[in-house]
Amino acid sequence: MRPLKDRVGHAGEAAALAFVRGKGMEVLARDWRSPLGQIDIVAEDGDTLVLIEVKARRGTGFGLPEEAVDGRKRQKLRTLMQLYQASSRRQKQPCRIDVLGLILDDKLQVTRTEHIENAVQDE
Amino acid sequence: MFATALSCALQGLAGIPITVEADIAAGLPGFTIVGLTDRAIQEARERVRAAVRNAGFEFPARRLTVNLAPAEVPKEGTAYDLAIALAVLRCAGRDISLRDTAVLGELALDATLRPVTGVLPMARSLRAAGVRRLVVPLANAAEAAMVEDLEVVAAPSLPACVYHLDGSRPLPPAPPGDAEATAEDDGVDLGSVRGHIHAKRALEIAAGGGHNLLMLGPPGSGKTMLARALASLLPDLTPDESLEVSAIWSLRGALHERPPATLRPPFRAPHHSISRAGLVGGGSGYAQPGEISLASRGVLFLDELCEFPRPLLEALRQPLEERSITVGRARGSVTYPAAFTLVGAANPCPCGYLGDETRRCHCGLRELQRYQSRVSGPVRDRIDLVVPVPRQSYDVLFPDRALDEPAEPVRNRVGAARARQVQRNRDLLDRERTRTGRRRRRTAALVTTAGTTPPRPSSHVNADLDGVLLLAACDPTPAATRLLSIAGDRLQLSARAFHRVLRVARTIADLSGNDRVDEASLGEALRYRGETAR
Repeated sequence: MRPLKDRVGHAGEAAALAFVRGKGMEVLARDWRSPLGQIDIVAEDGDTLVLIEVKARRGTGFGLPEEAVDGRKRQKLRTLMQLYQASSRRQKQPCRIDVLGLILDDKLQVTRTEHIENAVQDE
Repeated sequence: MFATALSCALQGLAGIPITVEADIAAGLPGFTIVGLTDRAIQEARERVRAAVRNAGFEFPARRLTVNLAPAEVPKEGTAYDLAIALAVLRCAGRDISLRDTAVLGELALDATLRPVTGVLPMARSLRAAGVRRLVVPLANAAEAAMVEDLEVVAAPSLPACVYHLDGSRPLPPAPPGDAEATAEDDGVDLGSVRGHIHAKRALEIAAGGGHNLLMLGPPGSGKTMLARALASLLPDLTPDESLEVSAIWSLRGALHERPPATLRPPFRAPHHSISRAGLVGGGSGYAQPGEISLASRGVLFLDELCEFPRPLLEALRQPLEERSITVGRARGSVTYPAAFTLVGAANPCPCGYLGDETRRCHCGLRELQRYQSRVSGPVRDRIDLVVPVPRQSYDVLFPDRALDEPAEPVRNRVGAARARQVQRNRDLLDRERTRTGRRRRRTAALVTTAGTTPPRPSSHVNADLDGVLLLAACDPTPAATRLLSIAGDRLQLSARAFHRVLRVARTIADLSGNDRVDEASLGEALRYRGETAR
């Protein structure tokens, strides 16, 4: 069996994908990797390109998942957005960065989702 | 994508039209405002965002840049909120018509419009720059509507403004304020002041010629009451003067104390603990007009004149001469009008009873000299009339008869005298101008921008007459000339004292309806010299 934290992340990703599709967004990429880092989900909401950072936790003991996105991480996400846009030639497309927080229970089922649109803006 | 809206900045009393530009670009959503803004304008980002959302509109999740142009003019305050919101909405695709229209107002988070200061001077300048329509918050509508030929619409909120401008729910134009409306405290009616025949005559002369006046008397003798009575004797302002006064009050955010369209001259009575900036204008950052500007075209009453710090009184010298005050700033200076009539009230000495009939003054000589030197020479020289206001006996204060002479006839005499002198003095001025080919020093100047017409030179009242013009205006009779010569010798009059006496004599003659200053007028004028208290 893989370590718990890996299993939490894995369950979270599956749930996140379901959630995103459920919201009517089209998933363009998952776990997109680049030398600088990776993006959990890249999706399209209407004509807007959306970069989604997924944060899954078991219980809220260590703070809400959304709150784990600190300043450094935010800057990284901005840069990742630019990278993705450049690599997919979508520089002119309207874009935004969302944070998707998931709380899982002991059975790794999702008990709560918090979808923050436009969580990270231009500095 | 690019859109604009028109708003306004202020430098002193001169408004500068400001174009609020909004642009949407590629990139992560953000909202930046540039254009030499102050903190309040930076905070507009939060206000505009919340207001747009709460108004039911979508705030574009795009990379927004707003520029307040021209970018080199320093801007401050919250009046740009509305223009920024509209520019952003237009940029996002909303069809809002802003042709020849400017907008002003602060936005509350719930999208209601809040009033701002300085709307009247802004409206004047915008009109001069070609704007035909102006949208303002409700509370600012009355002052904005005072500007001629400008359609003013009062909007209670951002959505109301949007639906008006896109034509779906137009708002009616706002009417100008009522010219008959007067401020609550209308001053004291002259008829309700008991006795003080001598002082009342002095008030009539002061009002008649715009002369500065000093009242000397023991505590509680009625000096404050008389000062307030003077304000009610002054003739109505002309519509132009009223606009000028209201513009200054608008700048101070004081128009809630004074209906914008009223024609009554202002009355200001600052306490002697006032700061220098409070009295003459200034303050850190933005140079606000001071009490002397708020009192322009009206009365500035300084009660307990000798309690005012001497440097404060000294600060009055320029305005008393120039009828305006220039406040310097690092980025250039601003000039405000200060064409006030100074009325001072003081005790004749520290204990207050010098010259009193029944009580004896017990001040030491040194004390007395120091007290009287508080009012310096140059300030003293600008006061044309000095009148004692003694304690009155019981019989005078509570007589059997009803009121004393009511104010109406006095006001009529004052009005007639003013009309004569303004006409005559203007004629003399024109004649001298053509003769010498020079223009006399401009007084009471407002800072002007291209398009705003400079005001006429300050009213041609007798108090402003000087030198050659004064003599020509007086045209004394031979008897008067003789009296003047004798008096000059006996009383050792200085040149300034001569001028003072002549100015007062000229007004007395005007009040009597005489073209030339005669012996009687001069004789009475000599009584108001009041060099030093005996």
